Amino acid sequence: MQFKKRFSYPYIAWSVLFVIAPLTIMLLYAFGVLGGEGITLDNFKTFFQPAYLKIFAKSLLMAAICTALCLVVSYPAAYYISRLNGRKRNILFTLIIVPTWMNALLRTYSWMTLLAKNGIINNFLTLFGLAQMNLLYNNGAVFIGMVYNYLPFMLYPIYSTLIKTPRIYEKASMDLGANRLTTFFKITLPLSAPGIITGIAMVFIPSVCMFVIPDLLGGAQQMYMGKLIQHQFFQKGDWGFGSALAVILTIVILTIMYFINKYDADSLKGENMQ
Amino acid sequence: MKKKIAVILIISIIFCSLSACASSKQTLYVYNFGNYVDPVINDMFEEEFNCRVVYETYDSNEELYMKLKNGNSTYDVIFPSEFMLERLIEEGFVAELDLDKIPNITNLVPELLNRDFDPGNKYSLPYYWGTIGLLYNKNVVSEEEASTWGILWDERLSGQILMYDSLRDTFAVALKYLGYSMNTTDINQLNEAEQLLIEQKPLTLAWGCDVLADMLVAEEAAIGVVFSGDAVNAMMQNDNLAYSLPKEGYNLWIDTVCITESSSNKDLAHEYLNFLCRDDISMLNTLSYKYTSANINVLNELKSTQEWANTIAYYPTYEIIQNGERVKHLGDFVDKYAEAWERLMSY
Repeated sequence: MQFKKRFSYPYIAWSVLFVIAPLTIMLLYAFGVLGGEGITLDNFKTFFQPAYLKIFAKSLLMAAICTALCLVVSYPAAYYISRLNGRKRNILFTLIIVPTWMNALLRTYSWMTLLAKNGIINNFLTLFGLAQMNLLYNNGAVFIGMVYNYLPFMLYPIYSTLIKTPRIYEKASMDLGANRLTTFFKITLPLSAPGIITGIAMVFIPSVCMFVIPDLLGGAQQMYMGKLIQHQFFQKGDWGFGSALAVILTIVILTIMYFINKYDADSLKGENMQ
Repeated sequence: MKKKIAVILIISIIFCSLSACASSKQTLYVYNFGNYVDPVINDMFEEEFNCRVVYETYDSNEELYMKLKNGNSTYDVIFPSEFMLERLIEEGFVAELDLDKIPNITNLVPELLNRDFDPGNKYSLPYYWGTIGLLYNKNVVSEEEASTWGILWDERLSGQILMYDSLRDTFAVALKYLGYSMNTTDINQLNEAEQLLIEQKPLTLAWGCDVLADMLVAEEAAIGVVFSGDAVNAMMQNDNLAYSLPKEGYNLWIDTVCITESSSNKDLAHEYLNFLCRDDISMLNTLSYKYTSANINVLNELKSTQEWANTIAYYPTYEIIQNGERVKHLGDFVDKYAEAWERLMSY
């Protein structure tokens, strides 16, 4: 036991240095201990202004839509790939992972080239006498970019739980008279819930804070949480309020994840009892 | 245990000596806007002065300020715009220049020296300068229409308008259109400008900085607020584009170069400033980015050889210099701008 513990030292050192210490500093700034005049809640009070609440709500909404779209696109794909035999499966899976080897910013720029007014898609449309469309600099473009960017992070965890689930459960369900639809909803879907939860966490959390893609594909006319926080640090120099925003965001995300996890645990228990 | 310590010691000695080898040359840390010094110039400087130049870039004056204020920055040479220079001088971040060490100062445009933000050039030298105006597509917008900022609120151009995305510069457009100073500290005037910008939002295609000129070149949009240097570059790439300075007034900006108070190598930094003012280096630099040089010899030579150098975008006339307003440091009132900006961005 003692021996094993020693192996965790690097990780403990790492997390103290790069997780716990920065979080503590952030909290100290948020409560005015650092850079302020003693302990205060003013930074948190500032948050309750219409402009900030609106930006916050917009960020959550954008992240929620993006996560939902990712889930809807990924699940069938992950399901399909997991049912294929060895070689095909590996090829398809690799195809999904390969784009993540490329820089995300670069991939976003290529979407700009595709969607621009005189871009590839519009050129193609006009070639066939169709009207040019405004594809870039709107919410649609933002969602395309975000979903494209985060898709592998949703697909991979779902895929890996699906592939680990013994197929024998589904067979048993069918043998007992359930049709394929019932089997899917009663057996496959609940068993893949941990993968879905992980996927949601991996997509939702970064997309709440995302600001590069909305800036590039949405035309930078809106501010989301990530940019608002950056604005506090780099434009206003208000580290206290910037930290408070980050703390609020962390708490909200943790709360949401807690409820999702809880729901997942409950639903699994329920399934087991049946 | 002793063995371990010995090993660690040996390793650290090796590393120290390695890094000592690498730093036997003097190093100059330069912090600048993106696309503002041609990298070739840094190479030339390295060779001529047998030193190393570490070149880093920032996106906005505010970013520069925060870096200086919060980091134990090692930067020697920085390039603040005039309003940020005022603030940096006020807060003691920049060092006084020894003008005897910069003989090439005689090459600089006299009108740009001894300005109100730095009388006697105690702290800074002008680097690039120019205006912020409208870059427009002549096929869509007429010269007449482009003579007022109001064109940016024209419903006819809905979805074809590009707005500059930078706190002070964005508000400057609205404030000027309303007939106010771009340095107003009247909260009512600022609120009016904010309201005007909120009204404009549905009409704009996108907000941005450097990308706007490229978008106009690609004819993605019809009109945009653009820095003069970017406008020159854009007009050279697309003949349909033209540049105008609206009659309500515009921003005349002067970016400066100066040495930080914390610089540990002020002599080399002076050499760098002097190097940048040299005719051949100024020429190389202005040809790379098409921003207006502060070097009078370069301007005169370009004016006689290059057609584009005769445009108001590249070479503002004397009247243009006189009539432009510059952005000033507003002290704490700038927070009011920042808050208005956040409200604007929440729409």
